Amino acid sequence: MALPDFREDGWLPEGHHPTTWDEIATRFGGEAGSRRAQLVLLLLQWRDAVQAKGMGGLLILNGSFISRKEKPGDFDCLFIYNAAAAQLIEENDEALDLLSYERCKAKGYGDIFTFSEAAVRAFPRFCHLDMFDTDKVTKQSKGVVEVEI
Amino acid sequence: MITNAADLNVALQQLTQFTDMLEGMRMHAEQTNSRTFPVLSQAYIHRIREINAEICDYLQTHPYPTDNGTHAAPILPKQQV
Repeated sequence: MALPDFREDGWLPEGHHPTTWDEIATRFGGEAGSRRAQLVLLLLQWRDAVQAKGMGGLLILNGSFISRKEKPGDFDCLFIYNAAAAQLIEENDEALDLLSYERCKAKGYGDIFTFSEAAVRAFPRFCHLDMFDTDKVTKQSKGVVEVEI
Repeated sequence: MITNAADLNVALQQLTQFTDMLEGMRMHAEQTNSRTFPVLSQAYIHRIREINAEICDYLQTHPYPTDNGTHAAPILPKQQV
């Protein structure tokens, strides 16, 4: 199912909108050489590195990158990682580095939040998958995008 | 940016959400003897500090709510960071 149109304020309508990587690149990628193109490249680089390590899960994408803003700052995301990823980051420093906020910021990847699927099941009351449903600047409700890694 | 009492409520809700996520992660790390918490908690701690600072800035400059739910004019100088 295709992503809905942007609202007048430039955000997607409220809700979690499932999508594909192809649609993310098409919808949010912008023109070659643009800030958007740069952000998509960084996001895909991070995704490829995560996949190459054998990690997977659900990515909830947020930030001005998924808005209509012409020159977005960056992307926020929440990575709900699976059991394989949970085991890998315990055993492999390179895998853990891929989920490190500081390492990711240094590489320009944006703000990457993480939470394990197991923790979602174990502590559902503490898990807010809706934590990006409100714009951190304007405090308005808005939509986010979900994609599988 | 918090500009009124409604924004303040949203910011307080966001603070609760990020703090809950951090606490859920901490409890799960404790339960599973995970070594990853110091690294994976960084994003939450950074965002919690941002929201806290925003809330404190607002409260410091808008200390008195009025009858209509808005806040009185600033009476305290905004602290310079």
